[in-house]
Amino acid sequence: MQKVTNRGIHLSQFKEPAISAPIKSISNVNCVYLPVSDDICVSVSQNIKKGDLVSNEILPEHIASFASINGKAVAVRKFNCEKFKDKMFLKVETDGTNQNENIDRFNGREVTDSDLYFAVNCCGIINLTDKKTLKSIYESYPDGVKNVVIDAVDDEPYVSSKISQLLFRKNQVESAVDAVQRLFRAQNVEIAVYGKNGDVSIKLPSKIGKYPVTAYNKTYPVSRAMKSDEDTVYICLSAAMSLYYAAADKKAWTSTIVTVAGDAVLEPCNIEVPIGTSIGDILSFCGVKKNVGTVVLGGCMTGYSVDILDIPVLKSTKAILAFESELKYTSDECIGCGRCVDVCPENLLPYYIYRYYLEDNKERLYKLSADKCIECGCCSYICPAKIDLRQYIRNSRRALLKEMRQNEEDTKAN
Amino acid sequence: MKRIQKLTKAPFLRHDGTIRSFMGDMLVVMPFLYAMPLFFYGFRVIKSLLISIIFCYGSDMLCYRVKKGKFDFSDMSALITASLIPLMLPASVESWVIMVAAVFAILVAKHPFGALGNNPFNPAAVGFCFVAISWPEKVFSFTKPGVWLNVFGKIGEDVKIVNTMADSLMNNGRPFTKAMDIFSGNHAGAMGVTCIIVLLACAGFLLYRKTINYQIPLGVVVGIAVTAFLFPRITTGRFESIWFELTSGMAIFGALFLATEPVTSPKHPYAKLIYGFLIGIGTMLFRFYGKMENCLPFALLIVNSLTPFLDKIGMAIDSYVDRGFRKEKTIKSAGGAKNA
Repeated sequence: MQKVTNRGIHLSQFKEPAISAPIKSISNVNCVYLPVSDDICVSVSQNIKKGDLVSNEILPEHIASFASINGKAVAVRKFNCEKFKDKMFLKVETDGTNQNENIDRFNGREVTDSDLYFAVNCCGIINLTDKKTLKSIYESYPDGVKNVVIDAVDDEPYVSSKISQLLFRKNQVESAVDAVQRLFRAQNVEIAVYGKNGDVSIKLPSKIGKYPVTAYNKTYPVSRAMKSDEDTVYICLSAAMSLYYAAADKKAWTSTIVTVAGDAVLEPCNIEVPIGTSIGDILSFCGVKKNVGTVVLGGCMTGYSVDILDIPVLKSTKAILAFESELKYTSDECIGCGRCVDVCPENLLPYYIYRYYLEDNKERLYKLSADKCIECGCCSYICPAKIDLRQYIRNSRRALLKEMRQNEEDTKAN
Repeated sequence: MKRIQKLTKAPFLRHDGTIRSFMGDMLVVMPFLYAMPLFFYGFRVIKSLLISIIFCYGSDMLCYRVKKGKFDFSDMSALITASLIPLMLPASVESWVIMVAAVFAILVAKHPFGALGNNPFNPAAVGFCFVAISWPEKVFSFTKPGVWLNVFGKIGEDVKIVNTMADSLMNNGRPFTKAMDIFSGNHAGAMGVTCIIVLLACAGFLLYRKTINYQIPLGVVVGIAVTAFLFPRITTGRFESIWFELTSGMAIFGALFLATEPVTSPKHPYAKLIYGFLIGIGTMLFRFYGKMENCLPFALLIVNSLTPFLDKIGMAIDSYVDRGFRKEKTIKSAGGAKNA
C-alpha cells in the first residue's frame, strides 16, 4: 500500500437521494458527440452501428473510440469550452433503432479467456484510477500480480456512480471482478469503497460474491492515494465492468454511469447513458427546476462548471451536478493561517506556493515541488479567505511542468 | 480587500469557516480573560481595555485613510491586538503607556509591512516590547491582587508594589505561592496572565474550534520545561523548577495567545513544533541573562524572524520522512517478489 497521510478533509457527502434510487438508463437519445482524433475511421454521412470503431489514438491516453448508438455520422465539430478546446467530436444522429438494453442478460454469462484478451486489447478500456489503459497495465505485469483492488471509492460529495453499481448490480459486479481476477491471475482481490458516507441510510454490502468489500474510512482524497505498485494493482470499477461487458458481448462497451444530483435536479439518480450524450439531454431526462444557476461536470471538488449544455459525457465523467444558486463567495486577503498546509494530502505548502506564484518565482516553486500537486481541492475548500488556491497552484504546476519538459528537451538536444 | 466573486472553478463546496468567524472565536474568549482581572483589580481594567481599543482602532483607521484603502469594520484583527495588549501589562499601569503600546503596535508593527496578513512580527508583542524597554519601571511594577485600584489617576495611596513569582525566581529564590493561588491567579503579575485555569479553559475552546493549533503551545511548554529541568534556577528540585518556570511570567499566556497568532507563525506542522520549542528556549535564555520579568514576547519576536526558514526545515523533514518510508517500502517489496 502507498503512504496514505491522515491529512485531507472531512466532507458532508450529500449522496442521498441519488444513491438509493435504482440505476436508470437512457439509450434513445437524438444525437451523441463521440470523441475523435485525426486518426478517424469513418467518413461523414456514413451509417455506423453501435460498437463500431470510430477513431483511434485519442489523447491523452491513446485509446480508441467506439460508436455508442446506431446512426449516421453527421459532422465533426469542436466545443467552445476551456476543457474541450483541443478536442474534436463526431456528431452522430440516431436512426431510431436504439433500444434500452436489458442489463440482466449478463446474469451468470461465462466469458472465455480469449474473450477477455479481445476485450483488453481491442475495446479501448481505460483505468480511471491511474489514467492508463487497461492494456498497458496488463502488459506491464506479464507474470500476473498478487493483489488486485477494485476501486469503487466515491469520495467526492454527491457522486455515487460506482457505489450504486455495488448496490443494484451485484451479479454483474461479481462477474466483472471475477474477470479481472482471471485476467491478472491475482491471489487476493478486494473491492474498496468509501466508508464515510454519513447521511446514507443504505447499508453497504460486506461481500460481493466471494470478494470482500473494504470500507476506507479515510478523509477526502482517498482514490488519489491509489497508485499501482509491484504487488498491488488498482483497477477502477468502471474499467472492470467495461471489461466484463465487452468480453461477454464481444464488442466494445459504450455506456457509462453518471450521477445526476444537486438541489436543482428534480429526480436525482444514477443513470446509464451512451458515451457522448449531451448533458442537456441527461438533465432534461431527470428534470431540472426553472432557474439553474450553476451546472458542474464532474464531482464538486474536482469538476468544472459549464455554460454550454451541448457538451458530451465522456468515459471519465463521474457526475453532472446542477445547483439553483449561482455559487458566490466573499474572498479576502490571505492572512497566512496555514490551514491549507494542515490539510494538504501531499504534504505541500499551498500557502507558499500561492505567494511565490503571485511573485512568479519559478525557482522557488520548483523547490516547493509544486508539480506534485494532485489538484484535489482541499486547500481551496478549507481556506477561510475563500481564495481559489487550487486554481493558483494548478496554474503554477502547469507552468512548472512546461518549463521542466523544456529543460529536459534542451539537455537532450545538447 | 473584500470582494464578492462568482465561483466558476472547483471546488464548488467550501468550508463555512471564514476569517471573521475565526477572529470572532478569539473575541469570544476575551470577556473570560478579563473577568478575573476585573475581580482582582476593579474597573481600572475596563478603562485600560477601552483606551487600548480606541487607540488601536483609531490608528488602524488612520492608516487605511492614509493608504487610501477602505476601512472594513468587520475586520477584527485590530480588536484582538487591542484586547491582548492590556492583558500583558499590570493593572496599575498608566493610560498613556497603553496608548503608546497600542499605537506603536498598529503604526509600526502592522501597517508598514502591508497590514493584515503580511506583518512579520506579532503587533501585540511589538507594542508590549516597546513600552517594556522604554518604561520598565511602569510595566514591571505589580500590585497585590484583591485590592481594587482607583479607576482614574493614580492607583491609590495605600496600594503597595509587591514582588512577583518571576522576581523571586530571578533572584534564585523559591516563590511561596500556593498551587491553588497559581491556578486561580491570586498572585501579583500582569493582569491577564496569572489565572492559569481561565487561560486553559479558553485554550480548550479555541483548540476545539481549531482556531489555534496545539503544536506551538506544546513546543513552548516543552521548550521551557526541558530548559528548566536541565538548568534549574531554584535549589529545591528540578520538577519544582519546571512547575514555577511554567506558571510564572507569561509563559502559558504567551504560548496560547501570542505565539499561536496565525499570520506570524510558521505553517508547517513540524515547523510549528520547532517554532514553539525555540520560543520556549529563548524565553528561558531571557530569564537567565535578561533583566525583564515577562520576557516571552522578546523571544517570540526573535523567533518570528525565523518563520520562513523554519517552514523550509519542516518541509525538508517531511520529505526526508517520506523518502525513508519509500526506501523501506521498495526493499520490502523487492524481497517479497523474490520469495514469490
